[in-house]
Formats: sequence, structure tokens, C-alpha cells
Amino acid sequence: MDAGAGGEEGGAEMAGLPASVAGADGRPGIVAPAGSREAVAAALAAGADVVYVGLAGWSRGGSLAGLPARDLPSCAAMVRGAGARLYLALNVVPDLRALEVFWERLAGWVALGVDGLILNDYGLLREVRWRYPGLGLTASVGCGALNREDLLFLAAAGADTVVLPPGIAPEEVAAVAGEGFGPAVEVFGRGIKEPFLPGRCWLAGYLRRVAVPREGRTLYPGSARRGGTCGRLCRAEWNWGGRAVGPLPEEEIAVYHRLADYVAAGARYFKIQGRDLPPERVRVLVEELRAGLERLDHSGAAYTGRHP
Amino acid sequence: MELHTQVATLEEIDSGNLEPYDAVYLGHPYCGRYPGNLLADPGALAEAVRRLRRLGKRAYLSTPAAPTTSELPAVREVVAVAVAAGIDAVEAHNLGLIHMLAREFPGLELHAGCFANVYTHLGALELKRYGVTRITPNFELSLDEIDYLQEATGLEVTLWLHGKIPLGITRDCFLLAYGECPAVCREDFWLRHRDWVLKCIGTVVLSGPDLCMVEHVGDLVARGYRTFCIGTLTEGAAYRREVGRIYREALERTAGRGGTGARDLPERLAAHSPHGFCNGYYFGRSGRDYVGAAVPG
Repeated sequence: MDAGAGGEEGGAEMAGLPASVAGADGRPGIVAPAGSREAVAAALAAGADVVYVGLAGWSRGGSLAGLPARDLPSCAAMVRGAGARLYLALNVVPDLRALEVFWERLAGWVALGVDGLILNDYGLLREVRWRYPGLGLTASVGCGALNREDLLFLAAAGADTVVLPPGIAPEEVAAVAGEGFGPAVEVFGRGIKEPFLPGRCWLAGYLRRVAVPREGRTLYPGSARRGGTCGRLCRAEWNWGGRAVGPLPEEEIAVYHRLADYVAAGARYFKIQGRDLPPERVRVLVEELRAGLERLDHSGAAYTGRHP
Repeated sequence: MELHTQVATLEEIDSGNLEPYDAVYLGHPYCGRYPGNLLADPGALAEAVRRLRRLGKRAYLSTPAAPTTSELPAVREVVAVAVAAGIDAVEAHNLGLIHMLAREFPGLELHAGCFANVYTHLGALELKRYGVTRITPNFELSLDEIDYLQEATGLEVTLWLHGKIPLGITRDCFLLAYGECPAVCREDFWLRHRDWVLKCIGTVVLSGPDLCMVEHVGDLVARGYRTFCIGTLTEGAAYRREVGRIYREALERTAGRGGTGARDLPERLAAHSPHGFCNGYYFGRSGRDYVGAAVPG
């Protein structure tokens, strides 16, 4: 037995962390979404440190939120030219019997200049870390990290950054980030706190799913985690035992008013959700967050967020 | 061959109700405030392990499915109690708990529960590194995918044979808007939309229909599966007893004849499933679909 990778320090040795990420001066970074070349440009113009994109069939959200693969090289060049980093959200669990297709595609994407990946299968995380030791690896919110030990598990698997769920309080972030070694902590600056914990819902595939063969593998468009969109069936008008009619509860969250608390708690990155957002909206949201962080900067805040 | 089930409280441990089962997972992993939850009462937990021992059953401990950092010390404490009482294994749904338990209880047998999100053989092998010996694959996987998982990892795989499928978990109890804790989650609370039915137990939403594999037990055994679960966490004593008996009978018929000859069994099970049956995930379809000869619902 590997005995949990030997505790906190053991996690560092196993993770094989890459040397640097955006904002290496210790200042918190902004992780911005983009679903098109125009959105990438908008995010960069507004001051994003990391831009994350998806690819249809490999990323949650389906074709609407996916960048055409042909745009990847120009986006990578744009991002590099701006001194930022490009991350690929590969947060669909690949067909486990067709992993060779995944490895083949990944080699191509890495060659095109992708700086890092966002993954939500912890087994895949370890395998990618082993094959690409220098690549940035973020454990997606779908990995379900909620506590300090989750963070250490994911670090041992190879994550250098771990995303915590939308709506998590700064006090809880501090408990997760802890002291001593650990990967960078990323929180949602703006996003939706959905009814169920991220990565812990398979309602969509229960209610409505089909299997679609594509490019040597099988996608399930009714399941977000398996190659499609979830369809937000939780937002349907459910009858609650005859006592009420309405969707399962969700909440839009924005942490701009508590940036200082999150930074003090150890948050290293602030993520904006929404690869399907129009470019103008991406620009506005990144600018808002950048302005908030600059105000924090001018206030003389001490940055405690860990960066690998 | 192991047929196991779940029990949340000490009162539910009764020789009659548990007679069909070889093993029992103790404790309610989805809500620490559930009345009588063995995970919140170390004394009752130790007694539960002793009672199962007297009944000749294996005793496993379940653990909170979504613990925060501040809740980890309490989990450590309850696991220590269970280990001292002679627990056979501990089930964890949370990756962090697997990390912590492997470090702090070396040699303890660990099982990965349904919320551990085992989707790939790579994920299962990652858990194996921590001493996990048994996995419950994510419900979204088909039987063909689970076959591959079993072959590629050599891990023992638990297949759910019957029960309401957990479909999502939250830390915010949905039922608090409709009643007082803890009484409200003792009621049956159904969510309906069109012909869709779900059961809400507060922090988890379950399928309304019961996953039912009684017509396929022979096939599952032929595929090499030997560990089976009847999900009864929020069900009454009669459900646990009768459904368990029917599946025990199906397994014994399989052993005797190489097939369940199970035409009568779905009818007997239907009496306990007011919203019918489903099993679609296993067959690569929508989870709520039913594949089999029996007419669901």
C-alpha cells in the first residue's frame, strides 16, 4: 500500500510540480473563460492571467462552449504574446476503452502550445502528470475537493492547482489551503452554485441520455461529465411533494466584495465561470475582477496564496 | 459471494431484517444530523458492530460523503472506535478521507463508495495505491465499462442490484424549506416533473423507481461479479428484509441452475417499488429506463 503518499510532504514529491504559473510574483491571478478567439482577445485585453478554453466533445458544455480545434494555435499565440497562459479544460472523462484517442489528441494540443490542462478524473491526472511533467495541471471543480485532505490527495495525483466549489466561504478556504506544502487554491470569483456539489450529480444521465459514437469513442450528450451538456434538468419546474413547484435551488455567486478575505485565506486564483459567455461579457467580468485586485494591491495587502 | 446492505441506526439491526445479508455498511453517509446516525454516536456504533458479529455478519463502516476540513477529526474518531470494535472495512466516498485513513490507519481495508467517482481504470488504480480493495463504480458506467474496470484493475467491484440510485449530493439540505430537521426527512418526499419521479432525502436526491437487476443476476454472476448491494438506507424494515430475501433466492437459483428462472421475482419486488423499476445506466441508456421483460411501474 502506498499509504496515502506519505502525508503532506509526500504529496509534494509525488506531484512533480511544474516550475511556474501566471502571476509568479505572488499576486492573485485571474482565470478567465473563452469560447472563441474573440473571447480570448477580450479576456487578455481586460487583464486575465490564465485563459481557459474547451474543445467540443472533450469539454463540458457541448459545442456551444467549445473552441474549434483549428483556432487553438492562434489562441495559444495570442495568449503567449500577452504574457498569459492558455489552459485547456478537458473536463469530460474520456471513454475509458478508447484512451489511446485521448493520448493522441493530447500530444497534438500540447505541441500547439497549451500551457496546462483542467482535468476532472484523478486517475487521468496522475497519468498526464507522468507523461507531461512540465504541464500545468488543475484539478477541476469536478474532482470534488472540499477539504484539506482532498487537496493533498489531488496534489499527490499530480495537480498543481485545485479548484474549490463556488460559494465556499473564506474561512473554509483557509482550512483547505492550510499551512505548509500544497497546491495552489483556485476559487470562483463569479459563477453559479448549482444544486448539487460539482462533480457529484448524474441526474441528467439518469433522466435523458443517448450514446453517440464519435471519432473512435463514445460520447453521451445527456451527461456533462461524459461528453455533453447536462441540460440543467435540475432547473425544471419540479413539484416538491405537493408543497411547492420550482427548480432545485441554485445561487449566483460573486466574491468581489470579499477579495481581501479570500486572498488572506490562501486563494491564489480567481476563476470566472462561463466559456459560453459573449466576448464583451468576458471583458466586463475580467475588468471588474482586475479592478478589485488592483484596489487590493494598492491597499498594501500581503499575499499569502501559495503558488507552485 | 456477498450480498450486503446499509443500516443507518442501531435500531435497524435486527436478525430478521438482516437475515438475507452477509454484510452490512453501518451509518448514514449523507447527513450527520439524521436521527440515530451511527456515525454520530460512537457508543451505538461499537454496539452495532458487536450485534453484527453475533449475527455472523461482516461489519463495514460508511463515512460522511462530503466532509469539510473541520469535520475530519470527528471522522477520525469514529473510525478509531470502529477499528477498536473490530470493523472489517471502512467505506469512503471522499478522496480526502481515503488519503487520511490510509495514512492514519495503515492496513485498514478501504472500500470506495459510489460518490468517489470511479469512472476510469486509472482512477481505480489511483485508489488502489491507498489500499482500496473494493470499488463501487460510478452509476453512469455501463456494464461493459464496468467489466473493463474490473479486468484492468483486479479490484473487487460492488454492483448495486436493487434500490434507489443516489443521483446527486449537496451540503445544503433541500428539505429545510419544507419542515423542521430532523423530522422532515423521515417523510417520503417525492419530486415530480412530467413522468419523472425522484425521491429527496434532504442532502441527496435518489431515483424514484428502484434500480432492479433481478432479471439479470445470472448474467452478472457469469460476468464474474461476486459482491452485490441492496440499497436500503432510507427504506423500512420490510423492504430491507423482503427485497433481500428475493435477491438471496435469485442468487441461490443462479448457483443451482446457471440461471435465475426469475419470472416470479419481479412481481414480488414490485410490491415494494411504488414507482417501478429502472436499470438503464447498466445497459448504456438513460438511467431511468428499464431493460428486462418485467413491466416497470
